[in-house]
Amino acid sequence: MNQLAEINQIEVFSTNFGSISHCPRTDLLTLKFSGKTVTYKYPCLQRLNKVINQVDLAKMTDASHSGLEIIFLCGAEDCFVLDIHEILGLKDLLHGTFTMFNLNSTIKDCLQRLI
Amino acid sequence: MKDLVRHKSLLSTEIESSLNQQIKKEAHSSSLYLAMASWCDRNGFDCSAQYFYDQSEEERKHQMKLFHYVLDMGGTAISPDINNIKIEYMSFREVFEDALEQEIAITQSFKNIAAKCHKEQDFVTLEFLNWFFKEQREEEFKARRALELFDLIGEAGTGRWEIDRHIAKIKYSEGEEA
Repeated sequence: MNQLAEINQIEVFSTNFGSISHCPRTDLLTLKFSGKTVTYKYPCLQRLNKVINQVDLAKMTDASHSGLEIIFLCGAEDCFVLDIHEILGLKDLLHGTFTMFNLNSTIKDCLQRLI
Repeated sequence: MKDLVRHKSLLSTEIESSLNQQIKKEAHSSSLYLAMASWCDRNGFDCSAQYFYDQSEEERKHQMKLFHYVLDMGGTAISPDINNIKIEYMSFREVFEDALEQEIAITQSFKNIAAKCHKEQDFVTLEFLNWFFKEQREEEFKARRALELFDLIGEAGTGRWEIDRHIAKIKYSEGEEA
């Protein structure tokens, strides 16, 4: 069952740190990052992007800071405990993913809706 | 791949964020007018107090109209937290000066959102905003007319009492002959 779901996934974006893929059947997005695999709905991934962008990276480099951030989304089961390199990696991954979403939307507009 | 961005919402992230900021501004306006109503009530300006109670309700309705639009278009409407509301005024006139300033700020804010909509070619939201521009014509007229009364009637003697009575009669007729 899981294997079948895996086959149907479309990779949206990937980096050395991880990947995000989309299931066309359920519209769920699978984030593979930092040894974890988490499934989100689209609005939830938007919230994650917002939370990641709000992390104060300068503060994380302070000597008084633990150097770790707990990324927890209200309503989601999983949380991430990430260091500054991982935060940057996740930021990169999400930025690329949302760029792909927007690019896909623009391409759909040009090829299908505006002809 | 499916167009998830467009399927989930008609609004772009930037327009959604601007509309949520506007929701907050309308809520702030509503609270501000309520504070003005309180000041007028405490100082014996009953008609002005009623005028501001009504204005406060009006702003709340504007807030909710925006709130429902964001949700109906697939966005996330954010319930705003409002604080730092001014509760004391130096004079009766200052209350109306602040009211006009508030309306001007709201109009400017809507103009900024409309400019963003033009840039993004979001004509659906632009059309929705037209209703608010019409409202702002009325709101700014009423706020300006109230201040005009201070100059016309004057505050000396029973002037402020007279102004208060006339505040209740302010109406906007959109250029129609009375």
